[in-house]
Amino acid sequence: MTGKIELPEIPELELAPEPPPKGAIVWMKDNLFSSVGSGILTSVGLLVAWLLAKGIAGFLFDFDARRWDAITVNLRLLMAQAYPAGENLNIVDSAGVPIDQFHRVWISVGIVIVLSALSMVYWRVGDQMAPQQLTRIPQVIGALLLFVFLGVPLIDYVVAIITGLDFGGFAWQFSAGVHTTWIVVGAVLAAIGWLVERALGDNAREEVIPTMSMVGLAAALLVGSLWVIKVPVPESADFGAPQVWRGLATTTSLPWTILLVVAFAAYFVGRALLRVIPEETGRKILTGLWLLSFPVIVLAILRDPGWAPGIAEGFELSEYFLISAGFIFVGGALIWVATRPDIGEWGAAIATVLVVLVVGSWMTSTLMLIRIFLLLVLLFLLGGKTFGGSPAARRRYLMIWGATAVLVTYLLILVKGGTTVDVPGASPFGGLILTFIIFISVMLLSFPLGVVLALGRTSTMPIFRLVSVTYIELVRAVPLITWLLMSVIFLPFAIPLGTRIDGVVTVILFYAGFSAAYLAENVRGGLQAISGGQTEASKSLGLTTMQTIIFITMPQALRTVIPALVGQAIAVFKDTSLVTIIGLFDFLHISRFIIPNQSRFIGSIRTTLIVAALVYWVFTFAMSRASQRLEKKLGVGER
Amino acid sequence: METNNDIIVCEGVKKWFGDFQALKGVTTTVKEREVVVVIGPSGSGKSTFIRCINRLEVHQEGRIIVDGTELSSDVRNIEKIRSDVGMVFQQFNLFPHLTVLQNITLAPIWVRKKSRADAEERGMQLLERVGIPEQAEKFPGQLSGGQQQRVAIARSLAMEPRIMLFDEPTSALDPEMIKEVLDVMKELAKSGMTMIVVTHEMGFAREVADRVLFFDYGDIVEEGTPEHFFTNPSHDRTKLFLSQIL
Repeated sequence: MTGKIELPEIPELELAPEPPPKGAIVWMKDNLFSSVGSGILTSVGLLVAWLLAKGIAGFLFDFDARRWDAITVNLRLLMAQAYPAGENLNIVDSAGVPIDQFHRVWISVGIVIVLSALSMVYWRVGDQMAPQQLTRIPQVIGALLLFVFLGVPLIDYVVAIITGLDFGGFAWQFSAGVHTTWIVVGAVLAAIGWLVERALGDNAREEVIPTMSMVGLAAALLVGSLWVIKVPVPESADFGAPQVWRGLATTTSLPWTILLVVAFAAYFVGRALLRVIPEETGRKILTGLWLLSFPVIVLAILRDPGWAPGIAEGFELSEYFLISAGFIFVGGALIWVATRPDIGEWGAAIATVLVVLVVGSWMTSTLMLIRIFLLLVLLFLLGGKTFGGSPAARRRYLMIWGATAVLVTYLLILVKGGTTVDVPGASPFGGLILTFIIFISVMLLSFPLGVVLALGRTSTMPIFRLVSVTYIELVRAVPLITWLLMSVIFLPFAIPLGTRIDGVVTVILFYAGFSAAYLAENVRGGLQAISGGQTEASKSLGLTTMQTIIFITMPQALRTVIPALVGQAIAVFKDTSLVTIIGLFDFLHISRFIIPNQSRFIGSIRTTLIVAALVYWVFTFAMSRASQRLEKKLGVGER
Repeated sequence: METNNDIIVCEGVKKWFGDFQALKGVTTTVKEREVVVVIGPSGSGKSTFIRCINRLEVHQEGRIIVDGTELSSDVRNIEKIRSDVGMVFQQFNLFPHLTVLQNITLAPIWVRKKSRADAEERGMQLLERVGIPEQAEKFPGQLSGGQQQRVAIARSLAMEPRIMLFDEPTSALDPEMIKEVLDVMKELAKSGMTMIVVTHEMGFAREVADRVLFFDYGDIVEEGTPEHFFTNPSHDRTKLFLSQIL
């Protein structure tokens, strides 16, 4: 139809001329002092760097005043608070000796690491990097060391001569030996990096090194350093006792070494699997495993439900099996009927009956399993028109129903089955684990709620819109701390007498509700950025409103607001530290309160806070980098 | 007045945007396999008219009957009609987050409930028909405007519509790409598709149209065969418009 046109030969193009090489002075003039304004900015920047370097280096390298052993001794506490590690146990072996439960924490970390390694393979994380990027690392570290140990004292000296003022600049310095050592180390590092880069010449810019191999190397070096690193520890508990340098306990270095091996193994297993399981299927399976891993880790591995009768009051395993089996078959039959293409008004009638049942079940003291199952059946009925139709689609929909129902039963049994992990205090969870449990649960719960609220706010249905707007404006207008305090003070009035809700669950529910309101506003921004033509095109093809939202508007809206969503995820992660005010022992609370109050480590708060800040930074920085990659990846082919 | 092969019947269709009256009682019928070209100055209501036919705009007075079904606020009627009436937009409106083939197969899979394999096979056939099968796995953003519009046509055809509406399909295209889209539309007209085309391409109207409608101020001012219309227009406004555009 459209005839092929012979393209004329394309004329050869000239190469752009090489820019002339620049000297250091010219570079500095062009980049640092190009105008009066930029000169001032450069000078101010240098001044700030000088003050920061003095402060930070003086703090970090002052080994006599820092209590790094407060961290190394308390690693378990920071990770999992009072998780049964030896003393608080009710699990004993046949000889009556308590069994250490801490391996559960390591297994959890292991699951995450294995899934991460497999995901890296299947999402093809990592590209090629140039040797230049590697040679720049020692150069930058060397330059930093030189600046801190040579540059800063020199600036101090110059400033003191010019102004005649002593900024106390020399007070933070260490012995001349320490200075000389670090200056030499810095100079050698910088020189090596620079010489290697020079030696490689133009080859240095070719991207030939796989990034993943360097990531593996870095991880191996990091774990390897656990075996050789030494920490200054006071000889005795007496105040002012002289310090000796000791290595880390093998209870830290050994598990990490095993995990490193596991990570490498998982990566190569993944590479082999890639030949058997195609990329797309593998990604779907991995996404499912990730979603499943969280409840399984929290409920099955860390909480270790006890199956013995009587471990949880009013819990009968057989009853749960019977009820869920009944629902799977009766609900399945209903869903099978509702997905018929010719269902017509009957579908609406069945759904209406279900709505009444759902509302009724939540307002009366019905078993939680029944409430949740009624809700699930209703949701599947409502989706029947969208996902049903042809016999193949109906069978697939029914299979998804079965899988969801089995999964929900399993999770509910885990929740209701009691726990053998007996920890004193409000919750079996604490430390960094608690921080992550709150963070991930809040994100998982607030995401769907936020999307629904955003749809409500942009909806044309008056009641839905009014409820959404009211909710969003009400929740956002009150500080998070207030909601958290209200969660412990008002919730007991709202639930039946005699029931007790775990403090962690309460916090998660309130926090998720809070976060959802912010998320809704972000998503709304994305929805408004989509042109009306998209909806029109979708409708003109006969797609229903629900299908248009699921397939057309929501995917595009979420893509455009990735930066905002990640920003919010980072905020949620950091604000988990607020749970300390209602008595939960999260990571920051332990760093700020528990460790500095141990008699051995009184006054170690300056060290523990720095470490806490560093840990938060590592995770949030990783999140922000991951989102940058994601943006880049999804940007392909868009607009 | 409704006979067997009248596929679209409009009787006194009126439409207001706020106080502005966009359609002032449009009455016309379109027969099966007929190609109707709608021309007129911008703001004359021609786009509003064809957008009313698949109810992207809601008319306030009059009747529109498409393929025997009257347009009303009943949701199921609308979805049925929309899946039988294809629409091609000036701005293409392809889904930027889906590949070309996914753009085409989405509606057949979820509205017509076809299996993925069937839908993809049909989608590839349609891409062959519009001349760009090699672009199936690309994203719309990687295609030229002409190619995007041809994908949009294929996307509408994938629903096997009985009627195709074109809303200025070549107005957003660079001049060298207009021909490739018009060629596809000509081929489609020859195959016997019922088409209503809003366009400024007079050459296309002259060559392909069975009938030309001239819109001005929200109503049909003149209608007739292209021959009558371009050689011997009877109305002064038509003459003025043609003198400006030709």
